Amino acid sequence: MIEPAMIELMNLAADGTATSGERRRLDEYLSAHPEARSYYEALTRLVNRLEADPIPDPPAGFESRILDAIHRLPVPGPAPHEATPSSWRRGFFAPRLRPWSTFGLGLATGLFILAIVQYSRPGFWDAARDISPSDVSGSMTGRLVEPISTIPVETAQGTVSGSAVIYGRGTDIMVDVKLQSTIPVEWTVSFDPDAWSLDRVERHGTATSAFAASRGSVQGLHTGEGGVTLVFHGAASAAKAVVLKVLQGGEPVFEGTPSSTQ
Amino acid sequence: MSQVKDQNADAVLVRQCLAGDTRAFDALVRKYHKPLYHLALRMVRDRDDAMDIVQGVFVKVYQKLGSFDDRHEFFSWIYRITINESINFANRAKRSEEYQSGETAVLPASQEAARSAADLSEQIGNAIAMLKLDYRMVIVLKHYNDFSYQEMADMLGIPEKTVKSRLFSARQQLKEILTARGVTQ
Repeated sequence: MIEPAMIELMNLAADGTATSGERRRLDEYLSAHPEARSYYEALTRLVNRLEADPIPDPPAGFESRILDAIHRLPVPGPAPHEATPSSWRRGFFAPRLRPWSTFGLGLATGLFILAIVQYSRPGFWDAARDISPSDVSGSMTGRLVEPISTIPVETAQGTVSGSAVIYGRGTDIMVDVKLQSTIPVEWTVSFDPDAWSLDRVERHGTATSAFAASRGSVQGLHTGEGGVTLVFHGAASAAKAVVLKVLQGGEPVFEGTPSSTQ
Repeated sequence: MSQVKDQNADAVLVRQCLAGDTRAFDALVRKYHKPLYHLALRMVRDRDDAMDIVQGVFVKVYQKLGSFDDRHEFFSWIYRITINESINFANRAKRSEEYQSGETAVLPASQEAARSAADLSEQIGNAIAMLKLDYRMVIVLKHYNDFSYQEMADMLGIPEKTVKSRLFSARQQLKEILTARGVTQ
């Protein structure tokens, strides 16, 4: 276990912003902790790769395109005169502000303060955190519909287990991916893009920490226990086209298709 | 980057433009269109979208030039607008923090495919696109636009400590994604 303070120091050193004292402290720590040294080396490699990563320039003619758009606009001028503090005060306390509007303003302010006091109570936000995304969105859940097929997941090395369960109701399709992994893995759910369109992804817990989607597939990075729900729109019969893959270190360690499709 | 951050020159150009010399704004376009395009491209991953965003930013900046407060830094202002426009674009395209979609995203490549420099760059770009927007932003500003922690804090309107925390967490996640894909050890 690497101390969090040392991870911060490693990042500062990788950016070249650590002081000489911090650098010395880090060097001492690294020489005594081999696992921290390999972490630091990996971090430095990543930073160097990012720094060296080229980004393509915009196509020729882009500058002219912007200038053409700008030259069609009216010439900008100084901003219109802004209200001064005295004019603000005059506006607020002006005689035309009627008593009922003053009362309304006071009531709104009171309610606002009350809301802040209420929301600041201990446990308020903790309670809110326990609400799952499906409860909030009111989306179709596994409790309400029967699964139409399942892909059980078990890798040969035993590092990853879980399942992908496909539910369907009319043209609403849901693929519930639940995994447990002891190491970082990447999963990919492939589907028939002509039959299904991805509506949204709902995350359950923090085990899956990043997503990407392309036509016909959704990918996620996963460590620990948890999962996501992929919500599609399309024909239930296309559930048989679903393929779940799990990759570890870039190499596939699991590939499965639905075991039974009704 | 030092050229980009030449604040006095920018302030002079803004004043000249507001005084009626619209060619002064052309100089600002020439100076900023590439770095802003790089920023937008890494945020939204699509060249056409990035060009639309940057063109929209310049139009907006031109129209609002009169409200620019020259006690602040012009580059910080225009970068902030670009960041906001990129985020708005991503959100409009349903690329929320938990689900970033893009036609340019590709399936995991094999280790062999990751060996060439172009593929490596593509892999890094795809991995960055998997980060949530807060994380993606600090990675792009730091590593593709060369801003300091303090400059990023000013631009994003958050404390420097928060910038560091986001950046370090983003790198950790990026490292995990690239490791899971076999791109890096």
